[in-house]
Amino acid sequence: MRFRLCILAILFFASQPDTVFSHPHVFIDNSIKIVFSKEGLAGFEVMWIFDEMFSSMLVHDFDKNINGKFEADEIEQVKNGAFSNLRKFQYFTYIKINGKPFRVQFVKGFSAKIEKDKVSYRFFVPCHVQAICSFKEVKISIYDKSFYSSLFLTNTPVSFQNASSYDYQYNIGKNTKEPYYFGQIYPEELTIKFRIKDE
Amino acid sequence: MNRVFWAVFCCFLFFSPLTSTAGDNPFVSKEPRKTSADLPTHASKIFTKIALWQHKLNNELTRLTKELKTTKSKNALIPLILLSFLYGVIHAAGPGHGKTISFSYFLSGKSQVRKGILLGNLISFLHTFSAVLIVLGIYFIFRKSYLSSFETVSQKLKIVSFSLVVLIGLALLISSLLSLRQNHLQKGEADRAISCLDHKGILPIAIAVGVVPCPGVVIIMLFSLSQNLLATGLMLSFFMALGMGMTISFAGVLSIVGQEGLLRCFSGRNKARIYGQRALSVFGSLLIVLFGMILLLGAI
Repeated sequence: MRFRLCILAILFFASQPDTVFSHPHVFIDNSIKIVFSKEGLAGFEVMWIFDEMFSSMLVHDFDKNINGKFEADEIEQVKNGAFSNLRKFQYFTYIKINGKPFRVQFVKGFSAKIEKDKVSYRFFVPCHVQAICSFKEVKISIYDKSFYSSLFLTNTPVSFQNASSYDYQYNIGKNTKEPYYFGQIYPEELTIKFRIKDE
Repeated sequence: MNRVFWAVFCCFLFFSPLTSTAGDNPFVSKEPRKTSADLPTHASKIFTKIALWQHKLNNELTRLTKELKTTKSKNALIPLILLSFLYGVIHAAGPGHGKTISFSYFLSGKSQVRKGILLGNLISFLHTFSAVLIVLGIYFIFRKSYLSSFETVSQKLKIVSFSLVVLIGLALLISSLLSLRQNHLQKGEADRAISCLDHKGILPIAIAVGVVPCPGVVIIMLFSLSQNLLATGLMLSFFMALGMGMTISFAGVLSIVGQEGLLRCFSGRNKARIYGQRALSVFGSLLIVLFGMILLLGAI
């Protein structure tokens, strides 16, 4: 018995993911605005607020005139230097429309701001889904698969825009079917169901 | 029952080295390469909790550092020291920081608990020193973008580090395999046979793993510099290193104590004890080589 326990203890340690560098290093408060149009779902406006420590790095690198805010040219530099690369990582955004994966290839309207010593990013993820009389289901999870950054939903993580013509419902839960980071972490998943309102 | 046990053993053995990556910053790094296999989710809640605790500690460290700057009060200093130590302990408790390499290293040979503690602290302090040196270099000498400069330097150091890990693993493996050919099976010679696998020095493996800068320390140093608090940044880094050292040491000590416990099961059976030790030695060395190779392939 003792022999087996020792073996299992050794195996447990040997099986732990070893990235040599512990994670996460960046903490992001994340909120999502679900935007509708005349046809149905138009996409998601995502807002990330970085922790102050990582923010100080971004401010040092991109607030060139050290005035505590990002001007248009500086926002462009933030985009090129610390955002566009996320395209390779699908902008940490994973969407499923009626169960089928929708790959995020591009985003629109990127902006960056410094507020109370914290840097925030705002961008729009286009995802057009036409509304019909019956419910359609869209799922969205925002997480960094490498776990270098850890994203947390804020206290009021979800809001809606132009949704008055639609019946909608949403819930937030853990996606236990698709754990990430060596299968160790369940991502949080926002599920939205919507349809055209009955007249 | 035995078959199931050994099947699990083989699965772990096969998958464990595959769970390693180079851990780059996604904001500036290259496309991720699939070099890992998913394991059953046995620690989901633990990792999520660790991330949450780190987030809270990160916020608290930020608040206290700013308070120290404005009030210059010692009241902020003591909690800051304690929190940075705790941050180090928790930071290293998540995946990474060479715990598995330290664990495998001690599995590959007989050692003492004090060496486990020493290696953990050596890795941690080298890891921190490397980060501090790079931050100060970029801040005072090169005056470049942190994000891209750190990534570039870190990338090169990773390649050096992982290559060294592979080389050390190979050296240990060769030594373990050679020991298989020795035949010390006469009565009373078991201890001598096992001591052949003693670790002579831990500095090479400490340098190999610790040379890579800790991004956590980099971020704390940068934040302190942004507040014009260089001395505070150095102090926080020191206590964070102390905390990380404690966690990494735990892995090494666990390996040494676990190995002792395992070999004690063979008490009175010298032959089995020697072969058990040699098997662990080969297993540990193999793990180091495979971890190193997979990390290296992910980094280049």
